[in-house]
Amino acid sequence: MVCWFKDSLLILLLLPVLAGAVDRDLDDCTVGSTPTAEAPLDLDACTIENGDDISGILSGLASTYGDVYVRAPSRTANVVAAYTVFTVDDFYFYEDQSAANKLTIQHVTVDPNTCSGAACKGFFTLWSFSNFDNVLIGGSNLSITFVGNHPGLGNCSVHYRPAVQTGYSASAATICDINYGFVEFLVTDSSIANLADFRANIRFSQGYALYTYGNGSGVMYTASTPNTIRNLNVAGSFYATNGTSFHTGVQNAWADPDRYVVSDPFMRMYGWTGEVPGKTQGGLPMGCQDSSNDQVRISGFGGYYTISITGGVTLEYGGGGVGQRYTNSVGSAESPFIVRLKDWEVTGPGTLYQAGVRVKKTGESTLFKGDPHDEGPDEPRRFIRFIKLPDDYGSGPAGDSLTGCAVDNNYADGISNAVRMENSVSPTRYTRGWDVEFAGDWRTPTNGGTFLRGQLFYFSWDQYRAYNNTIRIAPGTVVDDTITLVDTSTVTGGGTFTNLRAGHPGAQWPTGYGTSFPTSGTYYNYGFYRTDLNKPYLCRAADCNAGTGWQEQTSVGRANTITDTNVSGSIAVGGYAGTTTISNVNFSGAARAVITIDTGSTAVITDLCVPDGSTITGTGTLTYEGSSESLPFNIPNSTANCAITADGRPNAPSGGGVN
Amino acid sequence: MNFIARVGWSTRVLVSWTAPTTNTDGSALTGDDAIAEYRVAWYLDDYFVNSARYSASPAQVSDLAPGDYDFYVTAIAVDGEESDPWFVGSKTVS
Repeated sequence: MVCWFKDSLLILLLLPVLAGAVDRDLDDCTVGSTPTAEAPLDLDACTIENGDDISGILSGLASTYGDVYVRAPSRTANVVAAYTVFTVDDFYFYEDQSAANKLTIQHVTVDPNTCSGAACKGFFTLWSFSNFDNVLIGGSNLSITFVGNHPGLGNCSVHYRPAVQTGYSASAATICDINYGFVEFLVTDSSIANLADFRANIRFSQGYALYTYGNGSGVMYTASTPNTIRNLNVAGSFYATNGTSFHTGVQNAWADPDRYVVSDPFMRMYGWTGEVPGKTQGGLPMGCQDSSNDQVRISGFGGYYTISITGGVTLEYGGGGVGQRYTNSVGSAESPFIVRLKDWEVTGPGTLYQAGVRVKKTGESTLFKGDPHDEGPDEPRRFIRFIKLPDDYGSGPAGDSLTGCAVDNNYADGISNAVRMENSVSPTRYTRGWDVEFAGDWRTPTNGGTFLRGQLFYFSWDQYRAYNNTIRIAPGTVVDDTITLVDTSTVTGGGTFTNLRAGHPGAQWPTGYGTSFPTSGTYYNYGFYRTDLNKPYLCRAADCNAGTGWQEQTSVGRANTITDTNVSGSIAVGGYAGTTTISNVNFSGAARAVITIDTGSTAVITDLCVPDGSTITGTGTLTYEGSSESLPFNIPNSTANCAITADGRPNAPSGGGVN
Repeated sequence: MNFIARVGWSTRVLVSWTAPTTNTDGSALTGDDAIAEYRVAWYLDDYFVNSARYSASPAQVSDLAPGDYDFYVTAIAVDGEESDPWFVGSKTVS
């Protein structure tokens, strides 16, 4: 009797699901006239109960009418769907009437541990769109949610990933790879798709939430490159270990800067108490950052041979950033790509996936391509604005590791390598400059504007050409005292930094940074400073301007403009660096060669203050106080500008109002 | 209906302010210290949303989603120096 009771209870519990588990098709709908984009088939015209499989309706529309135009039902509905490949030109599936209409779509339930071969397909991809023209899923209300068969926390048992995904072969994987490429967009018939527009939510997907496949690597896309998607738009909450890491084949990508959130599915499912909660993922504590077990490897919006990336992303719970590889442009001066960071220090990044915009690892795959042929002007092509949002879970665990984790969590967490550039392979491949702003909360920096730990910029690349890089730290932003602003310690012979304005007079740096970071008052402004006095270091900065509380630069080199700067070392103009303008610079210390101009470079110099007997040397071209001079050049004694003082900055506006 | 274009919000806000006349050290706003532009930042429900640069007051901020906004403005000199932010006011966009 006890057993009977248990079985009955189980049956009762399953009844709501089983009762609704009906495979629906077009016979369950009153279609009327041929559905169009303007008059789609409203699923209210179909008999659909919670739990039903709607795959037959969609397949029926595709086979009967050639295209699919569907509007979600005007109610809350939870349905399932099977893995389906749609080869239609146009697929519209959206909710545009009311945010109160909640449609949830999830996989047909299959046990990933017992399925094999084709039966496993539904685990990895829900819908596949092949050689389409336009795919629109979701809509303005974002009230459609796709739910994956998330395995939950537990050991990832080895499971075989079937070869259902174009571009990948069957390979050993773990069930943590379930839902790998939840919705995929494929273009393989040498055509150019117009649009893949996904404005819905994806919850509890491992691997890529969205996946694209088209033109392979090695080709910098143009508007006419075949096997590409002209426009990829995304918006919604993506609780997936990889958000929209589109693989290949996207020409232009846009993420809604206000409504695109990539979050760790485990954190979203179980929350965070400030400590390792005892739950495991892949046999390791949650947040251990074991990439082999797909732990917290968020990738927000990564390009790959992409012409442009615009919009923005919110990254939650640490993880990786936005590895926009081989991308021609990111954001614009008028509208930078927004990267909002929230609770990213809870888990901390592993050594592979730091939060922020980063390129790590080595080799050609790390290159950011400037343009198809590395030609064109050197103006910045990457405009990024980092915004730190208030955290829900505080600053996370103390230190840089979690007890019980493997070695992959012992890296400084925070916004490490916000911009990381490495090119140890080929000096003939280039990138273009960066324009990056760290924007905290102007009003209450302690309430969300603090960037913690790590190094913001890491460069060990492209030592042969100079590009314009700009870093701005907005008023109110707080940079934690353990941050290394720019790390060039691995660079031998100097990095390449131009137009880098590292500090902002409104930037507030906390006290106690360390003896290597001298302080003066509340604000500090540095182009660069030497992190290791034993290593060769050239500060290649233009506009190493003075502000309130500036300090001496050690050395400055290969810059476009150097002005209003104290230099205790020297200025190395460098070779083949174009024209460098040097003005109003004060060299302290003993007489020496204060400036070196190498072959192929020109220096236009005015208003120097130098120790008597100092010289300008090199093999380049010199214009000194309006006259062409040969090198070496003995600098006339001068006492002008020996006391470089900073002007104030503008007073704040006042008055006004909002209408 | 058009799903291809980004959904646009119809509500716009006009933000105005009075320009500063001096630097923090009392010097005149001339030459490199002259005001080049202004930056207006807006917050939605206490969250920083975005900022944009404008040449002069007033500034029209558009494409705002519904919510309660706070607006701040800074002055930016030719040499890039930026003032402290000034709270201009709040506005509910519906």
